Amino acid sequence: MSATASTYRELTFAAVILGVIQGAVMTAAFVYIGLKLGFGLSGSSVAAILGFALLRGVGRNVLKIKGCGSIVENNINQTIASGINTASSGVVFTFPALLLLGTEYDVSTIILAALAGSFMGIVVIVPLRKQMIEIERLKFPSGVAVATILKSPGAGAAKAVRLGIGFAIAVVVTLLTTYAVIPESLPIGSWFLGDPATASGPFGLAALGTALSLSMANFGAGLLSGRGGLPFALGGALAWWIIGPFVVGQGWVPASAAGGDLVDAVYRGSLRPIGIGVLIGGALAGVVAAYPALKGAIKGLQAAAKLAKTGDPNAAEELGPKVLSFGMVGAFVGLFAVALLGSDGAIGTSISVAVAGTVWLALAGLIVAQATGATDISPLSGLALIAVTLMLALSANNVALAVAIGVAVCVATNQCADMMTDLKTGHLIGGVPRKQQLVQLSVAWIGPAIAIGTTLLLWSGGPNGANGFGEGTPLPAPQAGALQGMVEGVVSGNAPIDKYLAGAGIGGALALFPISGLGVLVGLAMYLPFDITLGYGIGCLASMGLEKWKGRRFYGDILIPVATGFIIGEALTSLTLTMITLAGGAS
Amino acid sequence: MKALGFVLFLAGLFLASGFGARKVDVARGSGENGFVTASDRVDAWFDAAGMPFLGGLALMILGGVLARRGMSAAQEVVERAQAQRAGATPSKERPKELLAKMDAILAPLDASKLPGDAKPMLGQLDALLEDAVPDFLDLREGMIRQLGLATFAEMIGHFASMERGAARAWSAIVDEAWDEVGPCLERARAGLKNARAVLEAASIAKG
Repeated sequence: MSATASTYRELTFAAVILGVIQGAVMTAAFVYIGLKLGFGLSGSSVAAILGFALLRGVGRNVLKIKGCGSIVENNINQTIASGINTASSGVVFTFPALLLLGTEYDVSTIILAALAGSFMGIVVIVPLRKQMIEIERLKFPSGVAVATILKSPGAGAAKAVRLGIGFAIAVVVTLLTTYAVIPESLPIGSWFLGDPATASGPFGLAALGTALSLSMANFGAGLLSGRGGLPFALGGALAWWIIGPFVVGQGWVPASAAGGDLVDAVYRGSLRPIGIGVLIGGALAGVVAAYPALKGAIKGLQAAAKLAKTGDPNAAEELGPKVLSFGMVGAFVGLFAVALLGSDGAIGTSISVAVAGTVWLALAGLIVAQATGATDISPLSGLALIAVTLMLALSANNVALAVAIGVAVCVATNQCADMMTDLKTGHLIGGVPRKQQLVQLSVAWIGPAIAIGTTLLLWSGGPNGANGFGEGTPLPAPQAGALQGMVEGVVSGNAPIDKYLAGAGIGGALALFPISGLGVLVGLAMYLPFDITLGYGIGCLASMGLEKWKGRRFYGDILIPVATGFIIGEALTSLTLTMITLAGGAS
Repeated sequence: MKALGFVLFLAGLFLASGFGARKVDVARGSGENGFVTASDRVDAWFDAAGMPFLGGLALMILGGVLARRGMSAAQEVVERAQAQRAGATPSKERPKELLAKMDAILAPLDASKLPGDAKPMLGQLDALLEDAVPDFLDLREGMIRQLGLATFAEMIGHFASMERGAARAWSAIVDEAWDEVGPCLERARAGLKNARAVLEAASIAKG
């Protein structure tokens, strides 16, 4: 913050080493969890808590390193750890599909694709920091939660107690749902049906689809989002109470469909694909609407870079445009090399695949960052499916190449969401954005290598050194299985292109309404089951009501720590239970 | 106009989404051996649902434009009426008033009085970051309308610099990094000063 050297510890050797170790361990573990359960985890909160224990507890108190474990130093530690770990979901949702399909591939091409995606994800999203965090003021509930943990040493005992209460409630609820003492989701609508298994017709669908998730993390994210997240809940109501019943009422689903089959037919056949389209259209229109601000942000980057030349080391708060341009060009060349290697040197195909891959990657990154910023929920797998569909079309059904680009897109979009969430945390605790961006770029190569290595290791654990995961094994790899099914569907001509296009039109038109980010929120609501949207929406309503009733301070003093406790409590309990289950299974 | 815009927009959204969601099966396509291509799928869907879908989109666009205009006008009327009733600062002056309030919090903070004044200084920074800043950000939509997006972006960039400076000063006090606090507060004051200057210049330019 000044030209004179400060003793305030931020970007230190200890923070980097601890972040790298935590990130590497979490990446390997989360690849395993992803293959087993089909979802990814963010390691930010775990890294922040361990950072306090090790940097502050051991570094400052045991090793007597003065000032070790400061708030901003721990922020660098968690930025690195989550930046590395973020590759685990990107790889595990996509790359195993190639192994399951039995397609021939070159592992170096996959590594190159993941690396290009990892770097590109960061360089495309950094220029949007001002737009998303400063101008749009997106909430990034997980970023707020991690900031609350980082600030806990100075927040006072009362806030720590409230965080502890939220944490305890989430632990209890998660344990109860995990061990089926209470359901994960309350089937509210089905209570009004005689026999849910035979329910049909528009009312039957509306009732069957209406459920309430008991996820405390989901409710906590809604509490942190407040009014800004409400369109997301309304989008869910639109999808499940209006569009879905309309589709059923018009007879556009098989007449015999009832119960779960009816829900599945409407959700997978109509709502989910059109939701993906709305997400795309909404994000594109959002870019157009925000053009003046984006232009200003780029100018700001250039101005800050010039100011840095005057000697003030902290004058440039962001990485300079030259670094970002260099990174972008490098990552594009990497993607082009992937296309060239994957298409046996076909120049025309390689150019079109690299250009389309880059454009889609940037757009998907923007969508995921916006969706995460507004709701904490990321439509990662849906966007990877679109990427593979697009690449199959451009490469004349070259499956290995299409999945390789899918790996790049999936890793990149996860990087976008993680980088922006970390930058939100940094904004709240006074971290220097440039330092966070620099460390995330510096370690971007580590995660993909570990994630791909772990995946191959687990695959080789099967009989005859292959088939170590997939249906019928202890590691069913559900996301990769879905991608495998989708690739087979596209190759046989079943991709719902019409729904994507119609959705994109609706997403574009939604941007005309005077609520920013409406297209992305409504699209995400259509893409997800209603129980998640409803639980989140109740959190938003509760937050709005309590803030209005009790005042603004109540939000900061009570709601933020309690909601943070909900998010962290559920995440850590799920992680611990998963590890225990996996350890039991392994033994 | 606002209500009409809302109704048209919602009707359009219903039509476009409903018909956009229509699932059309294509048994045989124009590709080799009857392979169903992407254009076969789009053509079949458009034949079955294209016109009502486009009608819905048109209604959404018309409704969106009307609602946007109506909301701007209604918001201004409401803000003016509220200000008159409360005898408060006219809405256009409210952002300046809040920035002045923040200045009044930041200006007296003196890093040379640390560590003695650590606790009250944390309290002041909490008041700034948890009360005054959210109050100012509540006016975001109105400021974008008044200033235009580009000017708002310039102003809020300086404002965010103030926020980061104040937040870092808060963290440094908690971490007892006393030599960091002064420069952070300077940075916060500079950001605030620049934000006020942009707002002032925009007010003069708009008369």
